[in-house]
Amino acid sequence: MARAATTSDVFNAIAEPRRREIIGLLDDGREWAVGDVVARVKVGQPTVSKHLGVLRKVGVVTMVKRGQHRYYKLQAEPLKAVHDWAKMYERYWTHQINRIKERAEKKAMDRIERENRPKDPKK
Amino acid sequence: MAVTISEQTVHTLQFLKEEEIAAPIDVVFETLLEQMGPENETPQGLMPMVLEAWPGGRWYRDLGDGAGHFWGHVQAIKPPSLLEICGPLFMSYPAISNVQYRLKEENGVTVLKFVHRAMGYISHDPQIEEGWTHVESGWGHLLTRMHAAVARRSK
Repeated sequence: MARAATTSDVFNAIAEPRRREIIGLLDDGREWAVGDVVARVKVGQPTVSKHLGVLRKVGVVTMVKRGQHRYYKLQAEPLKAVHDWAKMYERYWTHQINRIKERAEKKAMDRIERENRPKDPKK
Repeated sequence: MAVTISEQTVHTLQFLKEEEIAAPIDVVFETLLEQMGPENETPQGLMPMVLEAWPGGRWYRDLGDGAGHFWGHVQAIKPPSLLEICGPLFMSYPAISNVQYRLKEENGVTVLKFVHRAMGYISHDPQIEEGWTHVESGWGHLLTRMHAAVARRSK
């Protein structure tokens, strides 16, 4: 099966660790020049520009051009939908699996206890 | 009738979790079926579900008098090593999920490998977001209580 394009949706766009790092950087809400992002993530400008381009295409960041510089700003709204969706399931499943572990381990302990219990000699 | 066509609303989700459980595989499988059935819980208490544990069996909430909420079908079941569910789960949107529980016992410990893959519609419909917030706060409350209980036991 072919992989989904990185710009097909927000999930795919943020699946790349470097892009998540850039999102973390832009999380302060202010505008970042490409050069400042490059300095912080320590990868080349073409790579950073490519990642910012992907994030821009799915609406995670916006860009404004001032003179020779391009400035990027995080747009939290598309991320919120993804975050909420993922978080809702993560909480539900984590809870369910924790409960299965807790209850199964208790049952196993009870079973061992029953098996090791000395038999009543009168019976 | 209004028809709207939009882009960037269908998304995919994958949730993976692996858990080691100090119990035999048959005990873990039995507990899994109970937890997905009559032992299902919410912060308000028990929210029993019905799981028909056979291929094609339904997983649903029975509210009585013909009312309820269908969560999915059993896609595959091989006791005590596999349970696979497909369906909408608890999303009232056009979305479909595949959920797998794979169990393997090694040296008295059962490894549970869990996978949830979903694809579906996401929008910023305020009504939908309102629903999410409610669900989130509910599960969050439950987790907080559970963590507190575990911390008390550990002391």
